[in-house]
Amino acid sequence: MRGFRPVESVALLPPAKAASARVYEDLRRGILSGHIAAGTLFSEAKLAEQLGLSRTPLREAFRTLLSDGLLEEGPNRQVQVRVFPAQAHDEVAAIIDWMLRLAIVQAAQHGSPAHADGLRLITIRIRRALRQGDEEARFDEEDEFRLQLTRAAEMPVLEEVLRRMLGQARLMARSNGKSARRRPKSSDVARLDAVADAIEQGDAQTAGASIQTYPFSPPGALKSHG
Amino acid sequence: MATLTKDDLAPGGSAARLASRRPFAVVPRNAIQRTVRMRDGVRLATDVYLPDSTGPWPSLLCRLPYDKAGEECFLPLIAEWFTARDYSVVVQDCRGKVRSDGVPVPYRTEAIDGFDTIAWIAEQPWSTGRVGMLGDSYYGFTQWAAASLDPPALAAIVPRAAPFNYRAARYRQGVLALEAVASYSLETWVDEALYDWAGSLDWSIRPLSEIVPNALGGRRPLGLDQWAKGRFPAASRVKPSGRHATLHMGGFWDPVHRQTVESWKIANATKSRQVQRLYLDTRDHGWTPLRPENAAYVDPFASTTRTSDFVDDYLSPLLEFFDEHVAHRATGAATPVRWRFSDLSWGEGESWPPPQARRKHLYLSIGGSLVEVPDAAERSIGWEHDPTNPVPSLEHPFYTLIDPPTSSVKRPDVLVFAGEPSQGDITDLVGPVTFTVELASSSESTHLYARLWDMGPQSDRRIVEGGMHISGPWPRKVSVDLGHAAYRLEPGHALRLELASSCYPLYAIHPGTSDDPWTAERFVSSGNQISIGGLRAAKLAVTVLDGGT
Repeated sequence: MRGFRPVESVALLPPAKAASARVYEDLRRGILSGHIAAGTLFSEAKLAEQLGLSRTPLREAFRTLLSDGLLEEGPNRQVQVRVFPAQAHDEVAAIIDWMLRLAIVQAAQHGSPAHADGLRLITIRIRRALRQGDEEARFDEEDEFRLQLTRAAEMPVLEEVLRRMLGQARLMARSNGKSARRRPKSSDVARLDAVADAIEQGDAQTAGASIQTYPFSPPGALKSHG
Repeated sequence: MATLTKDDLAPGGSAARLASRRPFAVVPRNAIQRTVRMRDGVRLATDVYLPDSTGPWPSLLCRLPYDKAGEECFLPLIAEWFTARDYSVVVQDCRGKVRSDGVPVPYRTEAIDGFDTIAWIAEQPWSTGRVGMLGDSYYGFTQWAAASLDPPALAAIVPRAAPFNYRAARYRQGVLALEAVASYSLETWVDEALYDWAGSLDWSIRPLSEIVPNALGGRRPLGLDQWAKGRFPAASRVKPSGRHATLHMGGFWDPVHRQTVESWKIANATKSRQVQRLYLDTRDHGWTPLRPENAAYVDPFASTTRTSDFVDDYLSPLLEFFDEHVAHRATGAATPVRWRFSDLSWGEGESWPPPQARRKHLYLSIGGSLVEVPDAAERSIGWEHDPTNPVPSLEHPFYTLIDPPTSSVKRPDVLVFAGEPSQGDITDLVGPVTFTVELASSSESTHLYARLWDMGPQSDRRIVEGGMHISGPWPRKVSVDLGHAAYRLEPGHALRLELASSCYPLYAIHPGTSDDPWTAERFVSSGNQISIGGLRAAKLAVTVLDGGT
């Protein structure tokens, strides 16, 4: 029973997710939030027992996390949360930077108001997360903003690769204890709104310049590399 | 709360839990997700649904705080229905709510946000530049608010179950509609999210002001305390101007129906008025239909077929009106006023109540009956009002017809006056019902609640109800507004009037002292009495159509 009109049915909700998708999302969230540390070993049999699942969905979730680059093969046929070498951080940051430049140029060529609004709906959520001091939600939305640029560019392959890179960058930042750069201010979020405005107007240069000034977490994601 | 028992009202008797934050609904894939920039730079999340045919199309706008993609208001289904009929549909989260930016403040910016959104729609290549608005309750109010600024592109509005004056909707002649205010503020006006409140409100808590915060871990919804003290901002009142074609829709079992009739009256009396139509159905606030006796409630969302039938039924009256006034597809010859009787047949006429209707008085008799000639002798009859043991209200504050009470509460502090069963001559109540009485109390002030029932051979049905805060000096002659009815009293059925001084938790409890009911922690029993018979005879005034229509 709800406030305006009682609706017990879930007709408009998306279909329930498969067990493998749920486990994948839970594990991914645990890794990105730092609750599951780099180097943590997982035994498929043990975890399946703990979660009350069969091993098949767990195996599928592990496979996807391996391809995301968040897990790696560990000893004794186990998997572990990936441990990156220290120098990988700058490399991943540079890759993300280049991908975003590419996305911005393409997105500005399309100049779609709906795509720009897609970016603005995310900046609304970033502002809200900032107000509420919800850092995890902010990190998620900052990633979402960058992924939305690839959607605005209509580059699904780039979106797929960027998603992996952003996940790896977050894991690295957690491992290095560098998850907090400076906390963005509302004037910083206005820079992201400026990115949306510039995309709508077809101005890739202004969009690129605006996004450079936003203090994305994890750090280094848009340091100038060339 | 429809099956509220005394145990629920006793201290510690109800098992309350914390209200839960509802996740935002997933926006459907066929919605084009946009943001619309308001004049102060704040952007509101807006979904646009376009037909498959070749545009541009006339546009329909709905602005709501309840999640534009949510199942509660099923705007995605409404959009699908209207796009299939060649309208572009725009649905928007109100400022600060769900996906929209800004700070949520009830009422404050609905007029300008509506105006700016209509202007934006009119500029879009997919719109013909003619806009209609639709929606119920608060999203009916957002129509009144937008219309108050006369947006040039606004062609028609259809406020359903919608207040245009929130203070008037939340009070019955000075009595706070507690359950509606508490549950509504908790659900809607805590922050950007919506909260599920069922089972979270512990009605045994005193003072009343702490019931909602208790369900929210101490948080207080925006506006709750102001509303409970009768303080509503100017932006919560809009005077219907009559300058837009308007279909005023309401349900007799919706407490807001008084506002529906009132908005139609006000708009209809204006000089430069556009078409004003009144549509009164046998519905509650959620548009649940009145069912024949013994018929079970059918959840309209339990199956695809039922949902489809419900949406057809829910939207067809709007389509007819929008086709005429927004799309210019039909010429209208509809009657200005339509109403549905309790036997589900329709009546229509030029005004409300119909001109041929007449007032009829039924007098309270000392023997507990309702009679056409008052008792010759004046006598008084009394009861005790014990604020620590209130009379349970038994009905839901919004969805009265899902699980309506089928018999009233029998207690010594509830006075009952019953009429003679109808002898086969159909009696139609068509219009307002009031109860006039001279009352005295041992307290400085008190509450009086009156409910009119249809007493049937098998079960009873509540027809209308109302309440009033009354202050001395005593005795005071007062009239309690019981709302409007289009009720057909079948053979063998009789009217029954009930009087009491509490009706909880539907209404706030009078503490029996001069303390504010909202914050009162001290409760004193009081004695109340009314005059029966003689020159000051208590009477029920009904509006009747003789011999049916």
